[in-house]
Amino acid sequence: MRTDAGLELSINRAQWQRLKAILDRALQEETVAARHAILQSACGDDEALLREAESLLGQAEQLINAEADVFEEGAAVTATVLRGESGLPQGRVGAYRLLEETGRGGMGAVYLAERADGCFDKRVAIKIIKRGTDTDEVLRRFNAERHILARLDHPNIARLLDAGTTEDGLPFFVMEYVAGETLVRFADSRRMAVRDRLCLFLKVCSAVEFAHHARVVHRDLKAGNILVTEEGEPKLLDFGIAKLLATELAEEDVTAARQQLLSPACASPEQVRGERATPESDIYALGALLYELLTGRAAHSFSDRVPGPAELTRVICETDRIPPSVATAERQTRDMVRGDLDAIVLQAMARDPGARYPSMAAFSDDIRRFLDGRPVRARRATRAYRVGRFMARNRHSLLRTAAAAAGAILLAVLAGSLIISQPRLRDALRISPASLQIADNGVAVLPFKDLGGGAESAVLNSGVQDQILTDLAKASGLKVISRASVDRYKAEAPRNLGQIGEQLGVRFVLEGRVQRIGQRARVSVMLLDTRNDSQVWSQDYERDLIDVFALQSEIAQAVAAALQVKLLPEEKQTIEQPPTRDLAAYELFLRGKEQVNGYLDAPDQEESLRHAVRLLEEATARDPQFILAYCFMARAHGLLYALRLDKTEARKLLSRAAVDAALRLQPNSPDAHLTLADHYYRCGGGYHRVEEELALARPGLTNSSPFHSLDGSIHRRLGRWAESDRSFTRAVELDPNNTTAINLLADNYVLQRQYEKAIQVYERAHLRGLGSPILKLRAAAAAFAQTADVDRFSAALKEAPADMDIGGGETPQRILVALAQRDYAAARRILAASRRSAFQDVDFTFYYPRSWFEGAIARAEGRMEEARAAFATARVALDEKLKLKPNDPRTLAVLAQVDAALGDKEVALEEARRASTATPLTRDAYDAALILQGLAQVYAWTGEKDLAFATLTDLIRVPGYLSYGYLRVDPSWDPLRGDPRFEAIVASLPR
Amino acid sequence: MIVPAGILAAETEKGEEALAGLLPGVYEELRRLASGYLNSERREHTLQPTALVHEAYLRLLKQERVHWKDRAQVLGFGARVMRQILINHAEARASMKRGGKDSIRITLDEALDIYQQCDLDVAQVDQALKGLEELDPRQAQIVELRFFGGLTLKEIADALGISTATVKRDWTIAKLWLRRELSP
Repeated sequence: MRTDAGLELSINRAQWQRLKAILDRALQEETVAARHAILQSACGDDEALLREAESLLGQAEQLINAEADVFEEGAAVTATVLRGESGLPQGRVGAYRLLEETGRGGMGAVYLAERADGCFDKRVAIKIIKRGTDTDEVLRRFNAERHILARLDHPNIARLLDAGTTEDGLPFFVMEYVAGETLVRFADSRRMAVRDRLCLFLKVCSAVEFAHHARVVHRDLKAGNILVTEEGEPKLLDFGIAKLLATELAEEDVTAARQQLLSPACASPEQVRGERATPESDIYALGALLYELLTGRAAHSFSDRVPGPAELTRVICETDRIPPSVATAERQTRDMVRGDLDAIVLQAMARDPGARYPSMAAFSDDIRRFLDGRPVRARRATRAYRVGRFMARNRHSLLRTAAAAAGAILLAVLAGSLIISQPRLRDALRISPASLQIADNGVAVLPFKDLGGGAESAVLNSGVQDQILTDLAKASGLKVISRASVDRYKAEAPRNLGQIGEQLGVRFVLEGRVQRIGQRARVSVMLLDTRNDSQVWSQDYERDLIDVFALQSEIAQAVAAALQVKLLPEEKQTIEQPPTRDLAAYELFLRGKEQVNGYLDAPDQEESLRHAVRLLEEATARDPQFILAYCFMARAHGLLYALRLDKTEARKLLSRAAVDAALRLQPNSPDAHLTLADHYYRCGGGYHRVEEELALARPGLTNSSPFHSLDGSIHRRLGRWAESDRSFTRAVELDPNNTTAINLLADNYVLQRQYEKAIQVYERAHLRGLGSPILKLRAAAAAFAQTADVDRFSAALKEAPADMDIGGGETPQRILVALAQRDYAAARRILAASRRSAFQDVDFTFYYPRSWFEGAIARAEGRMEEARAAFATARVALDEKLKLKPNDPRTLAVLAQVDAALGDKEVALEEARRASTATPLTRDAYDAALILQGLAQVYAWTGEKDLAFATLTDLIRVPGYLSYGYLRVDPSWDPLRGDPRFEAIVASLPR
Repeated sequence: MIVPAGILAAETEKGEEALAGLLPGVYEELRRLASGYLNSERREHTLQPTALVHEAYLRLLKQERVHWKDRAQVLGFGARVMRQILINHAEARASMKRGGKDSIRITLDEALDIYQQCDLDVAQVDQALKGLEELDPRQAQIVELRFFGGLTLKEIADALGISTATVKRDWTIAKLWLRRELSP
């Protein structure tokens, strides 16, 4: 065979395909002999093929043995040419003249420069970012953040002065020029002692702490970014720049490109995984820097000089760190570093951000403790240390507990084998004993007993319990169960502590009694070990009502002390800070908070939330300093807006104003930052803002289930599924009886099509004694998604209360089942039975007017005229909605389906594509998948089968609600049925 | 033979508008590069269109699209343009027709030098690849995207809508082919 290129080919295309398969198999073999044996047997009698195969395999031996693979190297060269820079900038940059190149790194090059007009005799450093960035976007962001960066006025931070565009169209930054040596070199060249190195390092810490307070994360701290002047003042370079550059990449989700920007020596595991950098990432980087400063060696060693993604992941995310004292060669340093400094460095460099120091302040504090010869916290944080202390104190009672526990386990095993007959439940217990795992540092503050004193006493009672719980939750060393999960254990009913401990996953519970006598309050509290019902600690108090807040924080601190948990200075401070000093304001707050937290169950959500606003306004009128009251007020306003109960812009502004009031009172209040995150999430503002606020809230809210739920939601939106699993799991651990938290976690598994896991979550809730019908129904829905078993799903729906329709979510499911059973009359009955004018999908994201379902039912039944009329009505309703929020992708997606049903093919396709383009998977993995599903449906209904299959093929590769069950059963997909491509897609889904 | 004339014509017939509509500007930029290169009088201006191709390329790499097929078409086009640029530059260098000293040319020179150090002749790679194109067009496209386009295996997989494992296999076996064809 002769080709156009003039080559002689000894084989044809079909033979080549065969040859590829044979070679592929051969290459899997380890030895030369084995490879050749494969060729011999696979080629059989085809001598030409065998010759060709042998000659190619001969190359393999050389390629494998060759030091470097020339083609890989060639590809790398091309990549450099294409992605690298075009050369050195000539002449002027903005108003500056470049003098010389002073440095070069992953982002670009740095030059010494001076004003070209000679106006100011000031030298600056100019950093020109290399090609590959969107200049306009970088500058837009710079201008947006200018005021934040301007706040970074600190003696140890090099100021960022200006930004602009070079003639080549590259972004550049103008920075304060710093002449000096890098931190490590400075210390080494002066042969500085460990103590002096630590003092120098503390200055760096103070600069980073300052920036974190100004809400700026560096993201790229490393030896090269810290210069020390001759006077010994460290200066941090590039503050804020990494973010200006990185966000764009984050949005585009080019993990590889983002990794290119990372400095392997100091990049944190979360950054290597492609996640957003947080203050904890800076803490990690400083830990790595301290490592190097103490030992003279980088914290990580890579096998390549420029490690690839796999190597980065292996070393940074998977390899254990060697303690600095082991890494150092010098004996004197080793002795000095071993123990405390080892612990400090390793805590800062913990792989899990949550296990690092909660703040820069805590990090520097520990270094100062070391310098002062005081015990460092990093060592106390180790479990062994705490457990050791605890054992010594409670040796006898522990022995008794152990014996009792052994008996209990035996009983549980016997009971388990008798009661648990479903194989899946057995698996759940076997795979994940976590459901019954009891945290040794876990405590639940159960409702207190009201010993009388009238109605006022009842409020006092719930207030005291609430506040002790809130205070205790601030201790990051404890696991404290959320309020919503303890409420079911009423004080009046007899309590089985062992069972409560198992249900909540805590070892300890706090019980209490409150009595009001005139203007005095009497409070008794008792800390109990649920393993043996033994009392760990108890105390009676009697105080003036005025002092009740001080008393609550006193009790919280006493409980922490009894549990051997040390409070960090900032934790102690927040615990001691009373929420208000006005009892009446506090009472109003408690009532308002209850309305806000219970809005889901309220018969009239709008009235309930407006009532909450009134109560909280009264509370803040009485005490204008009441931060938490502003936070809940913001939530109430935000919910009114987000639930579309009040769609006005004014309502949104009210929410924002309340958050701002809280932030003005205390700029670093974790609750206020969480509220602002929630505001951005509900009322719009961009997911990156939500993340930033969450990062600020995180250190103070380790025990907050709402925090972890929102954290999980945002991870999920941004497509970071493993992280969202983790956050939702944490929320459930802290709030095991909270139906919403349970639903969020299980739903996350449903989206990932891990239905078994979702069902396990529900079944564990069932084992904990939660009998909520919504949990049962959601479990049935997950099972249906997996099995397409309509009859079982139908039975579960019949079992649920007939009027259950949370947010209009159950009616659509009932209709789907009726349609699947071809029982159109039943479908119409179900729709008629609901008085709602609009319904939502399973996750309350999309809005379907009632007429949509009328149309869908009629269409499924084949009554096309009726369907048309209904869809026309739906179009009017959706148009109205679109007027309120133009170009809303969610509304567009539904509108497109309506237009497809109406036969307006072009309009439908245009709308569907517009919705889909506006919502790429990288921006919102959750919405995008749902919108794509709508797009696929539009394609299916307009006869664009190829496109429908292409879209479905894309969809099943990413998490989403598209499931085996729905595809099998939902009549919307009828136009595609019978096509082998559709059957292949259905068959490929997990079940 | 000089650059993209042929390629451009072919691609244009395939649907210039479709491409242009898909990624506004990019196509135009690629074409400007081509014409800038063709026109020897404007040699000193080659820097700019080439730089533009870099930009265009990077934008292509980042473009998030639902229809990978279309993206593959554009990426493939970009890789082919780069292939031609490299080959032309190699030819020009061989005949000592070196123009003014501009940075992109220096970069290309550096690239060719490195190829040479690895005993790789770009023109030979090009030739060998043409043979593979006859046997397996998709496999040849993978090589083109990797060797002349500088894409990672994952990027290629996404662009062509096939698995990374398949790309890896095809790339490995293609390297055997190229090596054999290039060996004296």
